[in-house]
Amino acid sequence: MNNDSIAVTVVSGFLGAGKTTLLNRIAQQPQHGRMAVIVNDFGELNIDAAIIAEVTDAVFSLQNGCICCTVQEDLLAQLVSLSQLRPRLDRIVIECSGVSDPQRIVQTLGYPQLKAHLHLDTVITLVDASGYAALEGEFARLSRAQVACADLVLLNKADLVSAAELQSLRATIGARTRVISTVQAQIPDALLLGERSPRNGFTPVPAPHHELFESWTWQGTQALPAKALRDWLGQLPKDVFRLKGLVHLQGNDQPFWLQHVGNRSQFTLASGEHAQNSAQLVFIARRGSDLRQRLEAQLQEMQGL
Amino acid sequence: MTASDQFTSTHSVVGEHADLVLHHGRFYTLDPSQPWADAVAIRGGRFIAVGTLADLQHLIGPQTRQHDLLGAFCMPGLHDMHTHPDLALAPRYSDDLDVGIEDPTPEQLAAAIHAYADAHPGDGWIYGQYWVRYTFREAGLTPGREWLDSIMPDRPVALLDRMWGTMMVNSCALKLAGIDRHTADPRNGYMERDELSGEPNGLMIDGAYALIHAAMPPTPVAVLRRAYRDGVHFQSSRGVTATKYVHVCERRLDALKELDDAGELSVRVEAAISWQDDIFPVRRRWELLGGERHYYRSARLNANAVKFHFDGTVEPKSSYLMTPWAADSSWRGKLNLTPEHITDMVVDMDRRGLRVIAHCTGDGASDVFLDAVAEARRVNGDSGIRHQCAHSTLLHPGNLKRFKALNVIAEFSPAAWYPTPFASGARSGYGAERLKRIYDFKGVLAEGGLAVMGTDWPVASIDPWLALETMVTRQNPWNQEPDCFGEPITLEQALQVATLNGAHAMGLEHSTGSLEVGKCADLIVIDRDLFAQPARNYIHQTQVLLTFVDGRPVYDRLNAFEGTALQAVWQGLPPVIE
Repeated sequence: MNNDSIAVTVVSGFLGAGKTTLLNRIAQQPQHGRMAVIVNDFGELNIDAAIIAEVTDAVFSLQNGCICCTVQEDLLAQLVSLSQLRPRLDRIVIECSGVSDPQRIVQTLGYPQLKAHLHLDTVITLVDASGYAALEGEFARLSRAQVACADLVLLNKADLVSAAELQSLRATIGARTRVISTVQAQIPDALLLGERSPRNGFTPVPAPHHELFESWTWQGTQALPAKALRDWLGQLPKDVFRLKGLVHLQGNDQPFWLQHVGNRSQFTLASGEHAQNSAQLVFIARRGSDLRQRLEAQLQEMQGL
Repeated sequence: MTASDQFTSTHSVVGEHADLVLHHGRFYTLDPSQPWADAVAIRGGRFIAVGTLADLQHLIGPQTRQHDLLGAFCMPGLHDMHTHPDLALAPRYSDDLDVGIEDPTPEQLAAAIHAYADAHPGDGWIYGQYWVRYTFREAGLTPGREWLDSIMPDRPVALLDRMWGTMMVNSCALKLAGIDRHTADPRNGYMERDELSGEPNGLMIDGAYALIHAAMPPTPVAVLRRAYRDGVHFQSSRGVTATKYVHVCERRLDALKELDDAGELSVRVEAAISWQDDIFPVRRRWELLGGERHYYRSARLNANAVKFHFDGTVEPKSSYLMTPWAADSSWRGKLNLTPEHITDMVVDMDRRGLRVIAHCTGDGASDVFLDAVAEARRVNGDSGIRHQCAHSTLLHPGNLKRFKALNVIAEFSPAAWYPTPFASGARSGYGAERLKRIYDFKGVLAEGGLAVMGTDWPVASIDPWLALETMVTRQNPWNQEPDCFGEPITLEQALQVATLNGAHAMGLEHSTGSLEVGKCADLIVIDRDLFAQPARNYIHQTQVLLTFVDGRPVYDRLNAFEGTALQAVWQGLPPVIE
């Protein structure tokens, strides 16, 4: 496992939930590094011809370096070949078919052949706030599966429903899920796309006042007990969107990268990293949730301090 | 019924009269020197005369039984050269846990596990289906060994999820399977593991199922026997006299031998030993291939064949093609085995006297197969063994003539050689050009090759008359829609495919497949003249009245021989198994 591991974002949601809007935005922004976007259908993306630099076979190359390709029958093989591209990709975004369970793709990412090259960053499920409640039968089950698989749920088209409806929808799908209401799938990049290893050191993510989140950094001094840390991660309040950093765990010489999004944590051995502190964690939480003090106290306690 | 009952030595006294004369029939013989006949005489299970009643009057003695067919249409028995009653029926007959809820909550799943355990006391496996991941997430629980251990700690449990990608197992199951953090993942799947400890967490993905299946007790022989018994019962009642069960292990052969010994194997069966463990484990593979298979041999049963899965299937586009599936992709599907593996195995099996039956749905897979047979012919000379290209969904036009040249059987299965809502959707991935030449009976026959049909149940119906009709129409048998898949062949060709060509594919062309003096009396009597009306919506409704194997009725719809020495194994209406 290395720090160059390609981050993979999985975007799921029913037709009309806003996946294309979101994918378009991601694909056309240069700041996300070298990226490949795997879509179901080029036509949907409606990429402005002016920004397409080259088209070969099944691949569009955009002027910003982003690659767009359609999903292949053997996703495993497709991901293996994408992970071998040089210069190396920083991120792959995969669009799930509207009527599919993203778990299938998540399971593909777990294949040993891929694990050395890439890691699942975030599963984002877009839910059409104006249509979710009306789904029935197999569609209702699929949408439940999509929501349950998600690290973050974007409740899109929130402007099309009443406040009461929105509230009830949040209650239906949000018992344990991080749900963010959006219009036009507008969501800050810091929530959307995680970075495993900090390029800019462990500093809070810039969060201007109008953003819906705030960010801070915590420095620990002692190795943490693995079980207690995992239990704590499992109980994190819903208003914590993301948590990432480098931690020493008791009984291990090497530190681990920790990446937590939604309800899911990933620990990856950080070979060759020498943490200045025993733990450095960057939090991204809902603005005004006022969690910092409580969470830091819990971590202090975990350190036995 | 078994071979020993009909054993005759070269010194046995042969009577001068027939045992049985069938007369006043309309016999379609498949013998070009005498295409039609009115009567046949049978002695010792074989035809001693085929012609008119006057021709064989001298063979009728005082002990000869005569049966008036009242003008019924008769023909050689049908040959279904690829099917799987065990795979279709055994799961139905085995007593696994069926949760029976579309998306059970963890509590419902736990209740189902406990109910099954109570109904099946002891320490045996609890194996079944289904659970879903999302109800666990919704409940704030993590599926896996820890949860399952909390429900059932002391019996092995393995449960499949509804989308068929994950098997959840408990610690007891992992222990019995010998799995721990040192166990390597298979290439076609993996075990989810704890990131810190590397311990498997009890979620087995895709091909990792096999690690658990290998530790589970195999399907009981009694269940397999019941499945085969119902399978041969149906096949006999639909006029099949010879078939291939393409995938067996030692236990399936045990079940077939039990049926044979009981006189209930009413169809001639060639069984093909599985080369891969992808459907069920074969524990005595090399013993069987090395010669143990001969233990099962009788006039009705042989296991002188071996079945390979060379490539995948059409629906997930894993068929191995010579050109990419779609114009905007480089994906050609894939071979499950290296071409070198395939070639060495075909050469080796050919040398050992085993027929290779190779699952080849894509034209690339059959190309590799034909190359491998060519190499076997070069190395071993002509062994006389006809190897079999199974399904042959798509063949490269340039390879059509190689079936004759290399003496390879082209076997076609009707899963989608005619349009149905299922087939039309599933096959659309081929594109219009390839769709025109799928299941190319016509092309193989035109090049002088041997084409046969295999129903491939449960992928398609096991009813051979559906296959027969649609070979001639390549259209939907139940409606009048004009859509047509691929190229039809004539009824005469289709009848030869389903009878005499099948006999060639069994290596029995000298003893069955047509109604000729000296051949075994394997024939059927049916309720309609197949040539009397257009094939569509007609042939598949055929009812079989009598099926004879070795000169004895094995199926007797109207109980015509009841209470006589020729009472059939199966009487009355066909069983409902689909």
